[in-house]
Order: sequence, then C-alpha cells, then structure tokens
Amino acid sequence: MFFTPNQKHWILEGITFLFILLFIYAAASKLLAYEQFKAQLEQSPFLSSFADFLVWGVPATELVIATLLFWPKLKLEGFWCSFILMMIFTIYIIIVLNFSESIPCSCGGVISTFSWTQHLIFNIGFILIALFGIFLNPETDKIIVGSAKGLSFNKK
Amino acid sequence: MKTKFLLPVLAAIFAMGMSFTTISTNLNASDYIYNNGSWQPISEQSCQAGPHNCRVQLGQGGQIFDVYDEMNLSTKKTSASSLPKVIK
Repeated sequence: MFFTPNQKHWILEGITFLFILLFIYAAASKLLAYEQFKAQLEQSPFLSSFADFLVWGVPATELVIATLLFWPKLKLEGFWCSFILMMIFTIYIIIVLNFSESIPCSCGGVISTFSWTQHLIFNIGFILIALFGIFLNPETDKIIVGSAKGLSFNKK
Repeated sequence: MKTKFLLPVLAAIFAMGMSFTTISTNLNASDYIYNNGSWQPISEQSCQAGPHNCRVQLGQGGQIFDVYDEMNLSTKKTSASSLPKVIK
C-alpha cells in the first residue's frame, strides 16, 4: 500500500530481528538468573501461586515465539504470538500499576531496571511494532484477498 | 535460503551476548536500591550494623536511597552512621 515489496521485506526483517533479540535476551536473562527470577515471582501477590510453573513457562514461551520468527513460513504466527504475549505482559503491568507499588519486576536483564511506567511504554511500543509486522506480512494480504474473494463468490 | 536466516541468527547471537554481559554485571552487585518502583543493583556497601538505615546518595547532591541486601523490601541494611555514602 505505502511501501514497495522490497521496503516491506526489509521492514519485516527489522521487526523480526527486534523481536528475536527481545525474546531470546529476556529468556536467557531469566534462565541465567533463575533464582532471582523465581524469588521475584514468589514476591508477586498475583503470580506467587503459579511461580513454579511460570519460572520455566515464561522463558520457554519466549523461546518458542523466537523460534517461530526464525522460519519465514511461520513468521505471521510468530508476530501474532508476540502481540498476544506483549498484551499479556502489558495487562499485568497495568494491574501492578493500579493495585500495588512494591512488586519487583519479574523480568530479565536491563529490562528489570525499568520503572513500571517505562516498562509500560516499552511494551506498548513493541505491541505496535508487532501489529505493524502483522499488517505488512504478505500472508496477511493473502488472507484478506482470499476472504474478499470468498465474499464475492458467495454473492454470486 | 541461507541469507533468510542470517538476520535471525545474528539477533540470537547478539541476544545471548547481551544477556551474558548483563548477568556478569549484575553478579558484581551485591546490594540494591529501590528507585522509582524498580530495583537498581549497586556495589556492596560496607555499612556497619547500627541504629540508622544504611543509605546511599547518587552523586553529590543527588537523590538518597535506602540500601537493601536483596531485591526484597524486608532486607533493608542498617548503619552506624546517619550520613549517606555518595556513590556514582
């Protein structure tokens, strides 16, 4: 629409790069500081009951999504999963901002030094990037064109 | 085909490198301050046990924070002096 196919390709490569960097960095930081991550989860009144599951579940989910983004055929699914995961993290942050002031950030690496407000802005930025990736993905065009054709076929 | 995987592989390598670098930086930190809702690692502070809170000041004239042993608000360190130690 606004971009040439070549521009779309490189923007998508850039978005993929950013998400792989984010998810592998976040997962590796959590796994390398396993004890610290577990302690942070156990301190959270919302997540402490699921701490044993989340301590492995969150990094595993991040690594699975990063793997989806590696494969060109699964990139659209990867972007959708990234969008959903970032939405879940953002909803959690909104809950923390509204109901608590002293919960440590259960996140990895330099991201853990962010304040909750900075974290919220960071997440919203990545949500918008994921949506942009979904919008630019050639598979999305095919789905839209396919459903439009289906509609016109039904009219006949 | 090989070039399709070049950027994702580079991203994965960068991410691994960055996470190891961050972890080694954090391992050097053995005390923490609670700054604007998040934990910030600082170097070990030699506060002798006393009636005051162990405190640090971020730069001359900067903000003053209580020092914690761990990323836990119940692990506040005590000090014999009421004066905060200035750190960078």
